[in-house]
Amino acid sequence: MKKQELKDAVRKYIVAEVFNGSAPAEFTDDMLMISTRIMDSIITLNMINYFEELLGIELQAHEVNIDNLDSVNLASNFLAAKAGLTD
Amino acid sequence: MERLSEIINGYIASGGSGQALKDTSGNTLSYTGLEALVKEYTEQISSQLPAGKKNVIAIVSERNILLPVVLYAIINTGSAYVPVDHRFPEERVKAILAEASPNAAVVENKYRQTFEKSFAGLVKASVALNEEHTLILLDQQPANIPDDTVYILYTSGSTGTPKGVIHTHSSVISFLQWCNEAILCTEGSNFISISPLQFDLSVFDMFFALFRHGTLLLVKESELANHRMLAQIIAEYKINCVYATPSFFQLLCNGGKLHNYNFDHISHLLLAGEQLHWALLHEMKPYFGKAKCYNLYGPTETNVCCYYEAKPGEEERNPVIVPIGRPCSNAKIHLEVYDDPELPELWVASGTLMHGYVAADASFRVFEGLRYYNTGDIVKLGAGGNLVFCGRRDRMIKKNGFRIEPAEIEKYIKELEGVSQAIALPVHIENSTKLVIFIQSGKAYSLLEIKQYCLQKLPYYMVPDDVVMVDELPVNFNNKTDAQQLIDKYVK
Repeated sequence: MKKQELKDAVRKYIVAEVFNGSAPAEFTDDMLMISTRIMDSIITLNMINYFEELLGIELQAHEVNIDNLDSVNLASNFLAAKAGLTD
Repeated sequence: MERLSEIINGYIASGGSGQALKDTSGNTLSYTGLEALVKEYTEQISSQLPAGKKNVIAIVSERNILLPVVLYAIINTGSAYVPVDHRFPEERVKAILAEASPNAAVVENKYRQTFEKSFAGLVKASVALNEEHTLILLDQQPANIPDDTVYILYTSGSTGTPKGVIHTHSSVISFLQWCNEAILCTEGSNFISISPLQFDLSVFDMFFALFRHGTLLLVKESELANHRMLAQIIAEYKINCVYATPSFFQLLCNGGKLHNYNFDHISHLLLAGEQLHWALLHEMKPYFGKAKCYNLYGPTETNVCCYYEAKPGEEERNPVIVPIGRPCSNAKIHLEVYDDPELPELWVASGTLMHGYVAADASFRVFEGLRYYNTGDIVKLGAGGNLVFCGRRDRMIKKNGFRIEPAEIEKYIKELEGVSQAIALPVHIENSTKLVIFIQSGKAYSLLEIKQYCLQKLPYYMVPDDVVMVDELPVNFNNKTDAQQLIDKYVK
């Protein structure tokens, strides 16, 4: 998997789980989702589980935080680095 | 009458050099240190408050090692506390503070500016209590509450506004004495504070550890939002007793990577706040097999009034849903039949019963000389004389352990431009509950718009998970909104 594919997958996951499949016009890859409480802890946790399985990685407890996961861009960059994905 | 402060101080004084409080940053406080600090804060707070009258003190603070100290000191001064969650929107905070009308507040310094803004014109003076908290004196008379009030907890209200539940020294003591006889953790056990202060589970966390001369671990807000971190903390700090909602334990099982740890040190798991299914206990069993597991039941108005120890082999007798069990030793129940004799409403008369609400009328029922609270919960008498929760008589929703009155959400949605009707409904899909708002409006709203709007008006846990715009809300033959039709269509 390439970095861009992962980013698309993260976006798709959030749109499906947070917006029930229909992305609002205001939704961007930099929109903060967790700190603004638009995305709750249950969806966040499910998203982590999903991408851990997809990428064959395991996040350490201290890595599960807003700095790493708050937006599509932050989450996909962090997960890509963790999984060693390239452009 | 015995006062909670006397009991607290007695346990603190006899705790000696044992550890009373600790946090995950390495700070600790012994019982001896706690005694000195509580005394110091008590004197400091007392010296600032008007003597000879009931004071109400708002608490705006995250969990930290000094929070319980402040709480014990407030109780020592004879004042009542009212927790205010800093994550709540300003409008909600203002509504709570307007009704409880505290004449002082203990505010964590990082929230001081915001809080003082909410109280523009009322702030008389500010005094630093410690490095974390400031005592702010407010120029207003507290709400009219009994002199023996310990705390006021605000819950979602069916009339569209939150209700302040008043608990007194006798109701809190009654609850803690029951815990003392029923929850037999060993002396010196380790406890963890998970629930927010405005949630009634916190009463156990904040006070019961003292009864066992135990150590209460205070975890940071960022750690509480991270179940993987919490699993690590529970293992690392060898916590013996955990009191939380089934949703919490479900998240621990789903994402806590529990197989990485050994939890044999956990002796007591207490679950409360929402329906508990055997399926969750099965998921938990491989990790928490050594723990006694209790399903505790009781709304904020009664605190815990029924309990059930979930033992292996019991499931066949009452399948699917874990019973809420039998009344606690300090409680009496009455099953009031309305329509179906098999599904009565649970009424509770208990030593733990609230005094009443701050402003709203409490509809107590008097039966055979006892004052009962009609819980609104429909129960059935299951095998072994154990009660089983079957649903609600009204529209109240439980989601992730939080109590949600749909009327509160609908009230705000109807204030939006173009909205003529709105109904908030719980939709159960697989093992989760989605809160869906159906809106009849001349103007369309996206889910993001609704979420962002609700976050400005309501607590985060009351924000809808989905929005459905409808041309017209369907009505049934009684001319009421046909909720079932909406839910069925949504699920399809």
